[in-house]
Amino acid sequence: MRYAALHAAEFALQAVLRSEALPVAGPAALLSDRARGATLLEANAPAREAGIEPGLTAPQALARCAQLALRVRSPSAEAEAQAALAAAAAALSPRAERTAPGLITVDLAGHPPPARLALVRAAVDRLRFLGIEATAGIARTPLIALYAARLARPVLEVHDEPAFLSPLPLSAAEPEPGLAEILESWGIRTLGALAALPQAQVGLRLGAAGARLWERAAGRADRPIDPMPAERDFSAALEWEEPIEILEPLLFILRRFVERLALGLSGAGLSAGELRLELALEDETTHRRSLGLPDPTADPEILFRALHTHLESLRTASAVCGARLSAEPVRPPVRQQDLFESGLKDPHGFSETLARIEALLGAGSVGTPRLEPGHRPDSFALDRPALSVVGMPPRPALGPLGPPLRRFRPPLPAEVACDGATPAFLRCAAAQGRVRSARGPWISSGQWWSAGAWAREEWDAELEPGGVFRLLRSGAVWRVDGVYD
Amino acid sequence: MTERYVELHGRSAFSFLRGGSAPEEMAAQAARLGLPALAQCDRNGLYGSVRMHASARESGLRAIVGCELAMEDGSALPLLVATRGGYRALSRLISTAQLRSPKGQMRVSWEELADSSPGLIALTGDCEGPLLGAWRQSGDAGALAALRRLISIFGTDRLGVEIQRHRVRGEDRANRMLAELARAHGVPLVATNGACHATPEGREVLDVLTCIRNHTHLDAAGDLLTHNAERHLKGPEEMARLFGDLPGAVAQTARFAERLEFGLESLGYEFPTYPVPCGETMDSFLQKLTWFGAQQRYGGISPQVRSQLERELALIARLRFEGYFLVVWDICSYCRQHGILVQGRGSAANSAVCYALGITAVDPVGGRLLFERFLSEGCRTWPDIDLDLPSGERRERVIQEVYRRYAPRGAAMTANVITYRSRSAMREIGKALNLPEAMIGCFCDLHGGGDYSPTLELRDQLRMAGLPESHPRLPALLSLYPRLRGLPRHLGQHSGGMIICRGELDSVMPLENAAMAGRIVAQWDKDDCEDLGIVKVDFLGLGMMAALQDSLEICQARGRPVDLARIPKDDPATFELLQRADTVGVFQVESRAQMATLPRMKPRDFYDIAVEIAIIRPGPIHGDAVHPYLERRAGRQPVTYADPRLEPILGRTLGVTLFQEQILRIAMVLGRFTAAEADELRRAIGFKRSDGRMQRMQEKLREAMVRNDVGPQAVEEVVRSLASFALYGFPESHALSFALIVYASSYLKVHRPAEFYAGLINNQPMGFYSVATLVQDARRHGIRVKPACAAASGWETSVEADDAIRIGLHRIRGLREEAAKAMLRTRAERPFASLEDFSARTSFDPAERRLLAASGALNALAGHRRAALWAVEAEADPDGLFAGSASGELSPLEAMTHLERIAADYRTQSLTVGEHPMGALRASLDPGILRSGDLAGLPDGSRVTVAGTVICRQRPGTAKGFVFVSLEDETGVANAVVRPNLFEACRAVITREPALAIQGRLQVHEGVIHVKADLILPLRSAQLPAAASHDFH
Repeated sequence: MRYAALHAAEFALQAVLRSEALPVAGPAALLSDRARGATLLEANAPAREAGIEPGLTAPQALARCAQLALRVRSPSAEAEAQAALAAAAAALSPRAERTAPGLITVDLAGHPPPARLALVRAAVDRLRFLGIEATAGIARTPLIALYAARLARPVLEVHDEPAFLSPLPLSAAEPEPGLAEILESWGIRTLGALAALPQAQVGLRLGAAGARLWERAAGRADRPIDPMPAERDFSAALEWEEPIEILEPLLFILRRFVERLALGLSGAGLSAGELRLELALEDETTHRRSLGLPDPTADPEILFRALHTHLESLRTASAVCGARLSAEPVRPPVRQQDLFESGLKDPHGFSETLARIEALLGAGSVGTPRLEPGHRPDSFALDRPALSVVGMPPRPALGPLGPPLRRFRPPLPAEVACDGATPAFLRCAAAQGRVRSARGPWISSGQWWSAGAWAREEWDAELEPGGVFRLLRSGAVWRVDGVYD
Repeated sequence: MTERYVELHGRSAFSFLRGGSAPEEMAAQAARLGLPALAQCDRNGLYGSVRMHASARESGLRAIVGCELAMEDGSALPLLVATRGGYRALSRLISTAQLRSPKGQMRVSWEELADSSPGLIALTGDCEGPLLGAWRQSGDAGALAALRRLISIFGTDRLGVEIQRHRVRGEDRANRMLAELARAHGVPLVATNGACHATPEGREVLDVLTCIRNHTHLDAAGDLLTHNAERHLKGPEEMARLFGDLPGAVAQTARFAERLEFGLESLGYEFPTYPVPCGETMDSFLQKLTWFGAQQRYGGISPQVRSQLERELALIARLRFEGYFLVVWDICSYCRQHGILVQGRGSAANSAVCYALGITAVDPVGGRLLFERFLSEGCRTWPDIDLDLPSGERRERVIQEVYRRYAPRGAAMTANVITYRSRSAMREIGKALNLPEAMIGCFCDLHGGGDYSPTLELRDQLRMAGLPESHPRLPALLSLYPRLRGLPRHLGQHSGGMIICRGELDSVMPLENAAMAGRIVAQWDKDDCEDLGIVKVDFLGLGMMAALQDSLEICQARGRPVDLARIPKDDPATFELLQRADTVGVFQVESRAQMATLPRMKPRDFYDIAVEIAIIRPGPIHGDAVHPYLERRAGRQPVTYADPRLEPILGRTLGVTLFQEQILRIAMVLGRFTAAEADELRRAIGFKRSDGRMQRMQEKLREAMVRNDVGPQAVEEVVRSLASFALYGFPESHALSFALIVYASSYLKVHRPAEFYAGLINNQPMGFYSVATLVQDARRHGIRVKPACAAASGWETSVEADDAIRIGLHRIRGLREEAAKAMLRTRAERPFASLEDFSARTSFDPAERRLLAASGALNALAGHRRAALWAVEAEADPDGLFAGSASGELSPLEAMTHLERIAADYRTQSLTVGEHPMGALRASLDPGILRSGDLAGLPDGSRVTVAGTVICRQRPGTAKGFVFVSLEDETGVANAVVRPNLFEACRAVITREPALAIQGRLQVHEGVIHVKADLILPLRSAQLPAAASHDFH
């Protein structure tokens, strides 16, 4: 039996970096997403050369390397990268196991020795094309194949197991933290040193976990792999923190999607009959589009062109913060769909309709208004329409008092002459005249900490010709907010 | 316009997150606005009342004492104190409620309020008050019920219906209801503004504090924030305009204020009393004790001593101060009876009575100390007696004994007001402004620590932390940061200040629980107490006292006792140690700055040590006194006096003003200050809250000296000295008390080094250096430091021979004391024959056994550490799967290498008894890197590189941004000076890296060696353990 392990080192970091349109060539590291005391989880090779190592805090790392690019984990980018690894593995053998993030183990049974090395090399090359720097190890057991993959540049096949295993650091066998500490205190730093200890004595001291570790160190740990089921879901998805406002970076990401899906489809002997694109927009809406393909294909160029053509004419209401692309797998030849079949025939749903209306009215103009807490009158936010109507709040003990106010929307521009600080004469489109009496001012202000700082003064003014009006003053500008019944 | 208005409902920042201005700010603004009086009603306490009282006095304002009480129904009721009886009742009521509640959750029941109400006047409060709260909840009926309850407690004559106008739409409706209710029930209507901040700008700080209190940020706070900035102090005219339709409500405030007669000046505090034996008065008993003690202390009473004692005793009797002396004498007696070292320090050392009573150890007559520094007839405030005690458990025993003796509620620790400092202010403002946590964290990491005096503008610091110049919230942050800094954040307890008042302290000031179990804390801090003439005793824990006590006990146990009272005061070897700055571990003079001065100062007698202690302080450094003194001492500068009358005062310090007492004497001689005026001057020097007080005293002294024909140059010199002392000057008596401990610790280091180091190691953490540095210092002094050993060590570090100490098991981090002591008892019965025997007869858990093995403590039983590690694991068999296997096989593991042993030592004990890690690393370092010990032979100006583990980083406020870094290697310590701009360039490396290589020019001056750094690089090596560093304290 021979197994190949496809391994992407610093997997989470690679996954994030490959999802960015502008490649990061220099030092980069992945930061834990803890709000306080965040530390580095992974660092790429240039970063490690600059003295960056996991465990440093961001200020420590930046002190050592000012050019360091810091990123945080992206679950969607990791899922996408893992799918790319799986697709590459599926091209090697139908018996492949998703062993861990960044690691796929493939059963190479059936591949003769000269061919298997070339095949594995080709898989590694394909992954590089997909933006993943992977290595591969080939060995008798999945575990030794993994050890080999970690050392490979980029592919390593293990023939003499004792000679290969003996100098490997103990960490290669991934001891539990407690065991690692004990073994470190024993001065055991290599697999060879551990394997040289009597197994029974190790077991006596370190228990079953220690005995298993000893077996891993001695290369005696073997296991069957757990092959992943044949791929049925050909979809790729990614979310990103910084919303994308222009086309190029979005195309870069979709290109990655297409290449990976095409690899998966061809590995499974399938083609795409239709592409379904979903773009998650910053306004929490989703743009969805189905693109029927005139001829089912797994050619990444054709698939990408179909997308490109659609996107060129697309204007979204807001920036894009996530994308999902699904390919409907069909066996070629399949029934060709109507040439002019398009997403327009698909039900786009409420969200897409809203997105279109919003595109007409402007960003942030569609939704269910909700009064915002705070003292600014009429300050509201737009929520996504609720699916159910919520009950009314209980009546307050003190009911409303005073005459109702008929609001002018928007408030009317007004000219107000004052006697001291008090309005004395009003002229506006609704009324004009001397102020008989005025009450106020009522003062409110807020958002003093931001660019949206506001302050207003309100007066109630009764005019001599009749009518009581609510006047507003913001700075030197007067407006009439409404008239009391 | 002569409107009369008094703000009866002010709230300061001492309402903790409910007020935006300090009491001082409130008082100053109230005075500016022409208010005759101001009531400060902080929530659930009188925390800021003394500060308000003092500030109001300075501003010509009357401070009305008040408080907002949190009631059982959640409302907040403002209470104003009318009489002394009312004050005492309120203080007791607050204390009772506070002491029965968890911190910050006090509630008062209406029933107990009714019992305490005489002497108090209540207002109905603002929107959080019981009346408006009930109205909002239950309408007019609710309001009526609430008012009736208040009337039933306070009647209609001690109650005011409070009405406020903040120009918020809708408030008129509430006010109409209040006015109608007041009229209907014959309760006066009282206008207030419920001022939460001094000026309109304070609203922003209040909004931030509101966010902190509600754990939210400004964007999400919504209705929690204020409507506008109207809740600031307003003057009579503005209030009259605001309540033009209700003029009586404004006028009523003045009538209320007239009835509120009580002020803190009539607190009625009396000195503590002492229960004397039958037939004695406190005076007669103190006389007896004093004369008896003097006989013991002096051997025979000279006329000079007699005269001094008579003078002091007469004054003490006139001031009715006997009880206080007896209380302190009693505590000192308790300490001596229980074998606890105690020594009075500070101004008490100026008193011959204190010396005779055994409270202090310095003879003030022989030392020609100024008694007036301690006590004088015209004193407005009373001096504290500071007692130095061994830190830790022994000091706690004394404190608990005081609580026990004066229970219930007769003793409390003074408070320590924790204020917003740079890091906490930035953290809270950053959170309120909803700024990224990472940016706030980065700022705190880069710019937080200790005594950093920032060399960068705040804007630049923020830019470095990742907040761009263009950030829309930067202006708000820049404006809020200085305003929040310095405001009170919460109440802590003072490190040792205790107020004693037999059985009735809670009627003098409110008491509450401290966060620390078993401690009660007052709501006032030590300055507040001093302001009101309340005496306290400071129980100060000194690590060195504990170390000395341990050392002396070891000496005694080993049959080589040392009596500190009888050690020779002129021991040449002790002075030689001080002169060559061989003072690692020695009290007070072990810091880098002290060690840099000692070789220049070359102390030759006891007084020189006191000078050495006092001279390296911000006061003398700022006052440019250090250089002239050292130059005069070295004979390079003539000793001169600005005025011939200064010679008797400054003669001992070569014409340079070094001590507070000298300033006072100068004021008395050149300015003809009375003792009371001198005392006022002393308080101004010690008062850290206000520059104004100091400036006024400076002017007063200047004018007095001019009147007394003192020459202009002398006047300027004296005034300059005075200004520098305001920064922090040392009293001579204090320096002399400390000098005793310096001398004692130096003497022990020279003559009982093994006991000395054992005492130090047993009382860590303390002092300036880590235990690793102390061990290296001991080795350099020929002490064999033996490792912790299960077969030989005790729990504590012990002395095995005159030149050998044995590290105790206490140094092994993670070892339970009870398990170790059980092992020691077992070992005392019969030594352990083997590791199996050890395992069978001890109760250590697997982790502890591993620790013992890794630290080398089991070597005596196993041969080497790895063999022990191999063997102790055989006891574990975690899964029981290998029960049949024989475990007794010999260890197949190799012994640890030298470097591995060092690493294991640091990991388990934070020290190594062997070679310094740098020694082990030396061979792999660039040969151009010198050892610290090599620097002594090099000429000034040589270009050198040194490297070592960082044991100290300092940036003193007096050093103009320069940073001092101390590196330790196998030969000692190298000190480097870092320019401000180099520090900023390498800030992260200097503050973060545990080991550094520093290149620069050597500076050699009078035996003091520094490297003036021009290149600083991290020294990274897996073999270098991260040693503890004394940073920015």
